Amino acid sequence: MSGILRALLRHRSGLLGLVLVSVLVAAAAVSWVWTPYDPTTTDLKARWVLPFRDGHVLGTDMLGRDQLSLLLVGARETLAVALLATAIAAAVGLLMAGAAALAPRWISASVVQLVDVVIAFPALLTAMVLAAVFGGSLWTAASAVGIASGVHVARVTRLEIERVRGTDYVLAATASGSGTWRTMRRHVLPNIAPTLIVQLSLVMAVATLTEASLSYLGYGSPSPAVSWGRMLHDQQPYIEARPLLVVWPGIAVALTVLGFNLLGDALRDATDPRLRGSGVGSAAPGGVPESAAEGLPKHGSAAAVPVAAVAAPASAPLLTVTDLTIRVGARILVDGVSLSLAAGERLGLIGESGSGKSLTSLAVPGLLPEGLTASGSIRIDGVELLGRPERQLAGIRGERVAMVFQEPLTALDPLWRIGRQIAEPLRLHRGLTRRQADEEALRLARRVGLPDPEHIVRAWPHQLSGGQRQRVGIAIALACRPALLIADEPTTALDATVQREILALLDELTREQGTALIFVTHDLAVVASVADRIAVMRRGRIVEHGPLGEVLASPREAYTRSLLAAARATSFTPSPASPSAVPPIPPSAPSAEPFEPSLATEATT
Amino acid sequence: MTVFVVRRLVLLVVSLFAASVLTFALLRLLPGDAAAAIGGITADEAQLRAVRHELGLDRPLVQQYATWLADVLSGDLGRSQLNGTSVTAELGEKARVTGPLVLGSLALALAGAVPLGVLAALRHRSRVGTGISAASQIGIALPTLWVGLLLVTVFAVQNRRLPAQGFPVEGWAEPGQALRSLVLPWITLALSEGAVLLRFVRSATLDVLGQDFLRTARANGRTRAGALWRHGLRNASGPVVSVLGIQVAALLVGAVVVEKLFALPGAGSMLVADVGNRDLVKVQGEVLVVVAIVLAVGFAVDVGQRLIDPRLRETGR
Repeated sequence: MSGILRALLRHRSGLLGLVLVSVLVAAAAVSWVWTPYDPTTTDLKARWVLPFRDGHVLGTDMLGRDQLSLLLVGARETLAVALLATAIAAAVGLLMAGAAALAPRWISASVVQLVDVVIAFPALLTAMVLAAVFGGSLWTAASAVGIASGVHVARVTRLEIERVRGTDYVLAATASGSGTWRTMRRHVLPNIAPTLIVQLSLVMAVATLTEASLSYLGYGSPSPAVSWGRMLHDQQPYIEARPLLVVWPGIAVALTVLGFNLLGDALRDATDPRLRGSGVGSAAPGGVPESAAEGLPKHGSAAAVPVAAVAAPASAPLLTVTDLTIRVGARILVDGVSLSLAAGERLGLIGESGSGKSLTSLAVPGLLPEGLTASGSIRIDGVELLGRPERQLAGIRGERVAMVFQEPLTALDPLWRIGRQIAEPLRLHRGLTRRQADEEALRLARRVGLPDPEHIVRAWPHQLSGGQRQRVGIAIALACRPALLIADEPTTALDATVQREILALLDELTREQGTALIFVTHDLAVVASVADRIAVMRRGRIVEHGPLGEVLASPREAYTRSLLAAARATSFTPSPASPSAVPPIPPSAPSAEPFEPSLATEATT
Repeated sequence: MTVFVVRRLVLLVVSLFAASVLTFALLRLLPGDAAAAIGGITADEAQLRAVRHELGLDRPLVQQYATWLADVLSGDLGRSQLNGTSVTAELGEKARVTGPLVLGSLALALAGAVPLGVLAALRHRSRVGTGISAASQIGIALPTLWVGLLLVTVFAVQNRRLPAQGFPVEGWAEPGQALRSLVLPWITLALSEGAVLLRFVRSATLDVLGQDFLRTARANGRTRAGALWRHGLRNASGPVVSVLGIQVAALLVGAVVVEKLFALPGAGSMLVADVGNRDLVKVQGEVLVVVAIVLAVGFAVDVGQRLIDPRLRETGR
């Protein structure tokens, strides 16, 4: 609890909410012992006194009542209704939620049904019904809001109870003979308490608004009681003569509601561990550039790898990356990477998580996440891409440069049919009509080996398996026959047999279309099967770069050797003789980082 | 999908039935005496009995409910206990003001909330984004009735550009006048609803902006804005549509306050007057209509969600 309070104090708007609510409580408390004037006595000689005259700080109304005194006393009504409504909401909510979660099935089903119906009765409507039957009172607003909010609380709490009950520690407690009530008290209640507190602080905001509206409509507490809503009601007829008088109670209601809302929001943030202390880039201790030299004594020689010497293709390069540096704020994530790729060439970009390989590949088509900046030079067909406007980059993406992503499960739009997604680049770049695009999508679906293509182009992404979705991803990427395909860990999320099929498909199609390939992976075994050359990245730099066979046979870097050792340890020996053959793949890619704990993992994924 | 719609329709009917029982119970079972309310404090026991008999209050409750339900199903919401006017006819008449009021402010709220919410999400780190967020937070806190009073003060009292009170006696026969007298009520009601919607549009858009498929769309050749427009907004619309369903209830309730503020002769003013007169038959009919609208909108939202998202269609829930 004290942790929540501390989080609240650090939360700027939460602090404001706390202050506003404290002012309300203080005003109500002060009004019991002192008010500038008696709020209910009328003084016809002192009608409509302007603010700051005769000791009336906020002036007086048509009956000569002091406005500040009325506001202070009105705080009591607001606070009373808010607290009462919250108590009723908590009682109704917990009882209904408990019944729904714990009672025999037929009771719980009807409670859930009842909650759904009662939610359709708005609080103010119920309050007016109660006012029609009983006449207005403190209880009218409080019980109407209490019941209306109570069913919301019940709904949220029931879901929370079900969630908590399914967790391992509660199951364990039940299994070890803890009774239902004991389990509820010891394990479930403490866990739902934060959700409950947030809900109840929002109930107070609703209660304040409803009380004000109800009093304004004339159905609040009857006369000696003072309320802000009734002040508005009383003063509306005189609004033309004294517009200021409706301002004060309005501000009071608005600030109170704002206070409860801010407090509720801040409590939600404070009690949600996912949101606590969230900040960009807080994951990596120690900056990348500083530590880059530590575990890598031969760094100097690595930087001296003559890129041009190994990479120089005979023809003009398709892609030239020179001194690419990617930063987030002052932190350097990719540090001076240079690469070059000829048409039809196949490069494996390898490194552990956080090495900057994914960022490098995303930078080429201009798809870096927001907040990251790239400098240096990226040229395709000799044309500089860095610094180009989004519209021009979009014209190249999917047309000259295409991408296949790591997560086939999330890379497709869940609301678009498969065929339409396959045809998207064609419609964008080739301006195909809908019918032509449909035909083309069908042809591509068939080409990437999707089963029952006529049917599958009409299907939705969630109906496909991971491997099928990655085939769709490949079909999309190759639809416009791009010159360069960047595949960012395209097989990592798939299981072993599917991995092999997808690799073979990529290999076959890129060869057939003569597409150059950058294959990004952490898995040496995978890269050996598709690449002609490999570049090894570590901590934002390329540490080794050369033809596949050379690097595998005689790695110069300690880091590359350790990657190789890790690959061999999983019973696989790369065969430099046949780089294009699909080798047996280890049952599962080594998910534990092979070398050192990775840095800046957040930024790359 | 058809199976779902049928099942949801059955659920709607069950809910409507339960709502009618609740409404009836709320007004007839609570310890208040309608007869005493009508007869007044001077009425003696014989007069009260006569009133009760006239209203059918001396019959068994179940029988009273059955009669009422049968009438409601045939479209008759009963007659005023005070002057015998038909509730159905009067509500139909008042809906000609309340309907345009609610729908117009809903449209206005959406027209403001969607573009501003998307903008606040796109620029969430900049001053524009945080400014819009803060403004919406304040908009939620501002009581509708106070905003209305301020608008009345500024537009109707200070510079008299727009009518602040009432509705033309000729109604929609005087369309220009009618529209003008709805402008301030529309703004008043749209402001707080728009602020709530804006927050949901913003958070839904922020969610979508982080999704992989938006990056895929850009990799296919869409611009950032194009990807958001063609792929993002439809994905973001799911949560916004559910909130919209909940907000319809808030709009109907808000209309009660706004009609009173601007002296509009709509269903809200009718309800306020009937509560004051303790005309329980009318209140009962009005409450039932509001709740039925809320439940029907809930049904429409559930079906709409499934039209938007194919994944929901298959779970059958």
